[in-house]
Amino acid sequence: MQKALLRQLKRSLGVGSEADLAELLGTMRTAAATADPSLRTALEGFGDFLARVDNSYEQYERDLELRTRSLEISSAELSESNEKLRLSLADRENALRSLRMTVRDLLPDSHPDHHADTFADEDIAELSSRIALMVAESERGRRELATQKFALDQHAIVSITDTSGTILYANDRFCDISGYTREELLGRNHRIINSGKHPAEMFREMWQTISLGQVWRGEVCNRARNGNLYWVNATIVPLLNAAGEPERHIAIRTDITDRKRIEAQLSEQLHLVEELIEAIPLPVYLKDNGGRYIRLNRAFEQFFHIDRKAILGQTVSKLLTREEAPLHLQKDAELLASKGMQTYEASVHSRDGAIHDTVYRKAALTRRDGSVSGLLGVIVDITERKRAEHEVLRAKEAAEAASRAKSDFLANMSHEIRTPMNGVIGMTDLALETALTGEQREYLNIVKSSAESLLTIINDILDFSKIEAGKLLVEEISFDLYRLIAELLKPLALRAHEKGIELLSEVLHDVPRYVQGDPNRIRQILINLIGNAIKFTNEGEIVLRTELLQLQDGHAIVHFAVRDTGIGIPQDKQDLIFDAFSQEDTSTTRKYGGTGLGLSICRRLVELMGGRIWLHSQPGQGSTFHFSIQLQLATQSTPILGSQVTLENRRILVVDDNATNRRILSNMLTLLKAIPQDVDSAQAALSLFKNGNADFDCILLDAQMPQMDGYELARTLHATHDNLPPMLMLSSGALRGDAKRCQEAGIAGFFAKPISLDELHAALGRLFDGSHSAVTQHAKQLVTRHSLREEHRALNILLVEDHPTNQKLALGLLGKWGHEVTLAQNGQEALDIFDASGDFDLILMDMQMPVMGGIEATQLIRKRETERQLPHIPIIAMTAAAMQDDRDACLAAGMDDYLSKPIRVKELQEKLRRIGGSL
Amino acid sequence: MRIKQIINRKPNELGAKLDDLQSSDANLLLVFGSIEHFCSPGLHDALRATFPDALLIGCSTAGEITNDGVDDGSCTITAIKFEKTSLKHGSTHLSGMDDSFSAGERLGKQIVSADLKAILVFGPGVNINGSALVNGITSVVGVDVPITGGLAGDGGAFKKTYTLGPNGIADDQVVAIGLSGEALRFGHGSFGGWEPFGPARKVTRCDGNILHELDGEPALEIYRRYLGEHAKGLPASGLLFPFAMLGEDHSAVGLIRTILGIDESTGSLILAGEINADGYLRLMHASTDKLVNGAESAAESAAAMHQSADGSLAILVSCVGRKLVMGNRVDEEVEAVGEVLGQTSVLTGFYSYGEISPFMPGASCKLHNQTMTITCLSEN
Repeated sequence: MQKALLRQLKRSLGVGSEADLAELLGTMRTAAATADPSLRTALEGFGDFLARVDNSYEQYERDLELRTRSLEISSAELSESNEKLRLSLADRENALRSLRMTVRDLLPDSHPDHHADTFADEDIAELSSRIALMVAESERGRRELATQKFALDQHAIVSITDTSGTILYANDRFCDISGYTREELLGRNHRIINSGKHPAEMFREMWQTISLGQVWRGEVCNRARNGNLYWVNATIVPLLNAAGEPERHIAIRTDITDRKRIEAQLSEQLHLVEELIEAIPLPVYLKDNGGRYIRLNRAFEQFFHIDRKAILGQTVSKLLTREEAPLHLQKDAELLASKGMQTYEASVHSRDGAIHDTVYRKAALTRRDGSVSGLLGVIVDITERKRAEHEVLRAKEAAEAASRAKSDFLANMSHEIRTPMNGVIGMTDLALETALTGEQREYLNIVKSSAESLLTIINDILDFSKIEAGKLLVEEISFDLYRLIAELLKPLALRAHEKGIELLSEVLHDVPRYVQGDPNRIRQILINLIGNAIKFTNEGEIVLRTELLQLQDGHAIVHFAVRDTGIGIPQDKQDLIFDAFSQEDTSTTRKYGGTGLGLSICRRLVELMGGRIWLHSQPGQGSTFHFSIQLQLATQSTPILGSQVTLENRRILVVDDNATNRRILSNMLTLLKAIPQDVDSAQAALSLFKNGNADFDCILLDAQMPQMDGYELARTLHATHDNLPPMLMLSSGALRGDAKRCQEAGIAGFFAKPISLDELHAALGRLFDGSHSAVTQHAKQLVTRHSLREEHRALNILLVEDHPTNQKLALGLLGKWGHEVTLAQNGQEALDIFDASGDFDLILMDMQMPVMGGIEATQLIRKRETERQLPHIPIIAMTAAAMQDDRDACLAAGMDDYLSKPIRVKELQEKLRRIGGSL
Repeated sequence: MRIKQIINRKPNELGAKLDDLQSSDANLLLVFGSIEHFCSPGLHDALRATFPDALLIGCSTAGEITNDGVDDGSCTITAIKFEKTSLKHGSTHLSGMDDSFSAGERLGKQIVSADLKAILVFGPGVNINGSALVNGITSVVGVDVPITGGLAGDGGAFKKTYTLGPNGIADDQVVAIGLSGEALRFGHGSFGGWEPFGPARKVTRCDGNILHELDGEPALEIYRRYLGEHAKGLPASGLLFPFAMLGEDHSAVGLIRTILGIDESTGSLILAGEINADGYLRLMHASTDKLVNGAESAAESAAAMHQSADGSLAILVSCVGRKLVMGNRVDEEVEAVGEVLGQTSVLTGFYSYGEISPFMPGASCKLHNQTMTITCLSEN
């Protein structure tokens, strides 16, 4: 029972103890049996009731006790917990403070938040985020560093060694380049890559530097595992420990093996270039763009007799004199500005006092960006050259003087020789014109032919001399080629006829007639060749064939061929025949005469006329001499001597035993549009007529034919036939007497062979134009060449000549021809006479005369004519001069023409006739 | 539905009492009795003889509940005639505490059906993990089927309890009835009335429903400390201080855990159900008044849900701990319930070692401790 309950029971019910209670309860139970029914339950149940109450008290007490206990315990626990938390919090706060300090200390000193009071308020979250930031930054920095390290490793060879040189770290590149694996490197001393190429001092110095904690830089040659050497550019940085002492070294290197190799090559090349410059035998120098010498070679030193040290760095003013230097300074400036090249001559003094003529050749040197860095110069010593030039000049002048002397000599010679020759031949001619006995005539003829031969020889010699002196010249004048050929052949035809040889000419119709060239020389060649042909032919024929090879833009190449049926020339002699002094052999000279110069002169002349000469020959059969020359076409100046009468469809019979001649004549007739027919003998012709096939308009007869000659044929025909057509006779030998025979034979015309196309045309024309006497004044006059030309009238001539013999000659000829002659001794007299009465038809002016020569006199006459407006008097020079220049001088002075001495009668006659004809 | 109830105080008077019930053609018999009754042979036979066709279910108690209040040493038999509801019996052997979940599964499979509306389950009060059992059943029947019932008691001895099922009476079987049918009305409520005090203690070591340490201290020591001289009465005296389960954030989960036993060797407490290993526990205490008010609240919840008090059966499963606290005044809570549920409800029930009920309407079913759990059944 609970004490409290007991106490209450005691107080309320007076129950002192549990025993008492038990007693009471017993009593009550007993009483219950007899008690009131309403009390019975109470009495019976009182004990139970008390028990329940006691139980309840007990429970409440228990509950209370438990609760109190609980409260105490949990309070204690809570206090304890609280204390724990407080301590924990304090710890945390300490930790936080410590953390703040740490964070602050981690900040770099420069950071604005680095302050004792910073973070005081920051709680752990803020601190945490700050730390996170710092870590992130650190991480970033670390990453950055890692990247840099990676980059470094890509580029550089990196190794770390300790202080004794043991390799602690080697990056991949180090392993690659050294050829060692990392395992082979780590722990080994760095000297395993020593190449041994460096002196020991270098390494000593390196160690010293890095031991002091400084950075060493240099270029090192290392040896790889396989023995190959490689160069590196190394930087060795000491890594210091906390005490500031080096505890490790990091070496960062880049591979410069290539660069070293290139440097070596460059060095080699540079050395080579230096050697080259030194080796060049010409003075070579280099200047900077301030004009200072930066390089000179040995040759320069030797040339100027200086030591290069004295001049390097200086300008040209130090090298050359005050007079010489400015030119070069100026040239340098120009060159540096123009950036091109320069060449000029200069005269410089070398230190030994010698003066040199030089050529300076310079070039500006530019850098890659185009700016000028300096110039290069080379000096060529031309002193010798200049001297040589002077000598050449002197030699040339001497040669020219010599040449002029030669010309003068030739001119003089020519004059000296020709003058007496003129006298000889001229006088002989005159003498022959007089009455002579047969014997005298024979002797004089011999004299004349001898003189002419001599003249030919002299001319040959003079020509040869001209060739040797290089003075042989050809003219360029207009002339009639056809006429030239026709005229030169006539006298040759006579000679041929005397030997019984036919001389024929075939000019192809396309050959131009009027050309420009040197007619005299052409004539000379042809006469030479045909003359030779006649000389060396005894029987048969000689044919001159002229054809046009080429005609272009007024330039013609005309080809002449002289074919003979002579003795021919052996093969071995053919090559030499055009050489001077060689005749076929000396026996020829003896047999045939001649100087042997003719063909060589012909060759020279042909060459001068732009042609060539050659021959074909067969000993025993004959020779053909060919030559071609260039001629310009010229417009015609003289009237054609032919005829306007057309011969179209005229049927003409040609009778000639010579086949060539027949061919030539037939061609000509065909050209003239006539219809030729030819027979080769008189008999054949007679047969024709007998047969009645003789409807011809004209017959051409050859005089010389075997069995029956032309005359015979003519007479026979006349005898047997009526209504004969007119006949023309062609003869090789044209003598005056033949004309008479022709008349007797009933022949209308007579012509000497070879006949030219014009002559044929004219003759036929006259036959067919109705009146047989159109041309000449006399009726039924024979048509002869002579008659064609025999008109002339008397002229009033002033002869200016100082040489007595020449005077006599000229006067004689001119008088004979019926001209009126006035004589002047020299140019002055001529002038006086001219002034007195200048009414002359012609003046013949000699050149070399005392007092006043021909040139001067002519000039003065011409001057007077102009001043006084007098008519122009033709002046013909008579000159012995051989030179073209002299002839030009004559013409330039105002003369119209010239005759060369010795005067050719025919030539003179010709010219007079021309003058006369034109008046 | 029709209900009839008898209370038998002496086992040997059972037969006579049963005759009173005979007239009802019950299809379900709820039998709650003290150990004395359940241990007496012939109980089952007698019941079976009287009601050959009815389903038998029940268990030993730590106190019996009727409309009159709480009794000890009696045996309450309530006969119910369901007219529109079909019933299905289930029973399984529990081989140990670790078998709790699987036993629940087995049981669930036995009673599961398409229109299952409610389950009554009774299991042993010792060597069992009550929350695992409930989870096992739920895993089969789903969370929408309310499960009510409780763990058998043995008058506070915590040694051996008995359950009554289709196979008779055994100390290691879990029995259940599945009720199906649209006509069934079901209401429940559960309330404790305990209040937590003191510090929240961290569960530092536990194994399912075995609590080894709190705040690093052997859990048993805490009880000893708080119980002082009452520690002698462990494990029963431990009922005076159940634990409130707290989550990691110290907020109340809403469940209370009491011990079923202690392990002196390890200093561990064997709880009726599992606790949250990451959570906290807080000691609770209660006064009688609070507990009675709690019972009242439970009754109000059940009534509100049930919404029909006439002719309904109310199964009250209360906790032995409450009886211990309330002592003689324990009847007051039954009376409070009776007042709420109306005079026409037939009350039956027992004091168990763990109550099974949905936590709140619609929530999953849990094992409760120290609560008054009320299940109201009726038919439309």
